Amino acid sequence: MNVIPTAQTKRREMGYRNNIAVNSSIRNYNEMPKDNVSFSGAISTGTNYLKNGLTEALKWIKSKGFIAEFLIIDTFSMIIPRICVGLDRDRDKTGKTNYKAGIEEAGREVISGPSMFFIPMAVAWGIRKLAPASKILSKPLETMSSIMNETINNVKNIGSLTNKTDLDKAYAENLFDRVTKNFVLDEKSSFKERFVNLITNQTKESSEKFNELIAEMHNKNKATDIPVVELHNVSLGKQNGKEVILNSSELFSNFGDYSKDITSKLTKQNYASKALDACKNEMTKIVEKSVKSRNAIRIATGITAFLAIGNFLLQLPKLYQQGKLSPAEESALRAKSQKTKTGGANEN
Amino acid sequence: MKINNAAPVINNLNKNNQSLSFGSKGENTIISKGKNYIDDLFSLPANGSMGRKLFLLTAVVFLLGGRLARSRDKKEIKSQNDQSPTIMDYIRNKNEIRETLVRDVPTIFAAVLAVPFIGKKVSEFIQKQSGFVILKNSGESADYSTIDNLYKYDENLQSGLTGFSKRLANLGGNLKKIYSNLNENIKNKLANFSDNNEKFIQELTSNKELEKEIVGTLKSGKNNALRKASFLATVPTLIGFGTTFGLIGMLIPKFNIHLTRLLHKDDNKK
Repeated sequence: MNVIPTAQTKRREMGYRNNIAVNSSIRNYNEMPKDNVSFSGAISTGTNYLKNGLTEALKWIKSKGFIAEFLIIDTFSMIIPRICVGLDRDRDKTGKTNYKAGIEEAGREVISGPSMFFIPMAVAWGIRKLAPASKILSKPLETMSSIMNETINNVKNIGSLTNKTDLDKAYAENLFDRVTKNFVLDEKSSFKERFVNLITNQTKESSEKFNELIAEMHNKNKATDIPVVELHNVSLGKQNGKEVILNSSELFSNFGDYSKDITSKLTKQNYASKALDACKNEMTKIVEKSVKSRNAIRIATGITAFLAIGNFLLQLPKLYQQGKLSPAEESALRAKSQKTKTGGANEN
Repeated sequence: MKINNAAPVINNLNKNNQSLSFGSKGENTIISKGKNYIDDLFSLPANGSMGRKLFLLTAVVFLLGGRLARSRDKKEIKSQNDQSPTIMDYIRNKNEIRETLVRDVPTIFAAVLAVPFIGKKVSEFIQKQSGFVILKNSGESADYSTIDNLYKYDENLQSGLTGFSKRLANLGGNLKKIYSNLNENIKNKLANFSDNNEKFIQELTSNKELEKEIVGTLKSGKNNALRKASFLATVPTLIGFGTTFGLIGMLIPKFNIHLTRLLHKDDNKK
């Protein structure tokens, strides 16, 4: 007998009895644990929570990259154990907690670990405020600049060249064409509109929707019969023989940085009295100069951060060294004196 | 009007003569390779922190170098046998330097390189044993977004379940094992299917009802294949962290202290 689900059976499934929500915290009836009374059920739900918790924690760590991984390793395997080992050093000989060694270990580890990340982040933040496009890596920068040159050369009237919004829009349209060069999509123009609207609106919400758009375009792409593995990667074509592949969130933020830095510079020039071709020439020259300068600034940022940390680390021992003798020297002295104290067969 | 005394010959020579160019057009000269290497090394990623290579270089040059340069060891070397100092005497006397080399050098290398290395090796093992894909094509462990992409069935997918399966098969997965994890029902129905991925796909395309059931389960909230793959992707990282904690937190420091005692126990034997 076929039971057609009525409103009442549907509500019962959702956890309502007589229209009153029962167990309203359990939204999806199918996910309710089956056996939450018996002991074996409790263990299995317990391990499920543990598994999910661990997976979520490691997901978070991996999403933050090397910095999170290193700080966790630093804290649990260097700072805490070394302080404990330092405090315990030669406790069997002196019978006391070795505070000197403990404090030295603490000072050394706590300061050196995190500072190796925060100093370059501060340097990069400062320099990138002045030249946002220096955040973009070398190959993407060169590709994006060549796309900008194409855009400039295709513009028909001088009004669009001097208006930043128009130039951004034209640039974004060219970018879309480059990204979807090998795509076969139904209603490509509606995707183009969405792409341009999202990428020229640099907000966090827009960034997430942009990532979804890229994934949707990959899924709906009829050009391949095997779908791509990385649904959020886009290809900007080949630059010097190598394909330039970016993550969609990288592309989004690179566009924003490029627009803030270089497109602004281009449209701020005074082109009022010049012919279209002359304008185009001048703008193309500016684009090429800016590629060189931003490349140089990017490498200079890295080198500055490297030297800044280096200097800090070289000065650091002055902060934590507690005295003339290192804990190693003291330990060696104790090992020596222990032998003379006990005496016995070794003494002649 | 054609001008025939321009110098195209010289230009062509320049183009073909690779050593004259500075490699900016992609040719593999030493200068271009060096430039690319420096570029890679010193380009900070988006969040401004250092990458692994630059971090390691900084740590070795400044952290370890600084500790070695400012060590408080005495300059003179006492030898044990009243003869000229040997290498062992040098090792015995330069305590802080020895500690830095024995303890800090392996520690820094382990902290930077161990987790990805162990993760990769364990992932390869798990992938072979379980048939689930947790490695990218490049050989590194997959991120969670890749795992999501691989095991979630998006409704927009043009190539259908066949394309979805082929993608998993190309990365080295075992389709029978992956789909059997979805639920008991599907596992029983797949019991007689082939272990070979290509044959499996052929057998599956001829069974439209089973295809529909699999797609339905993959789209639903109870995608057990995704859950298992996420958990399996977690294990190598956990093992990597655990091993690194043990190595850096316990093994190396204890070894260092033991070595110091060993070297100095005979100090007053004459």
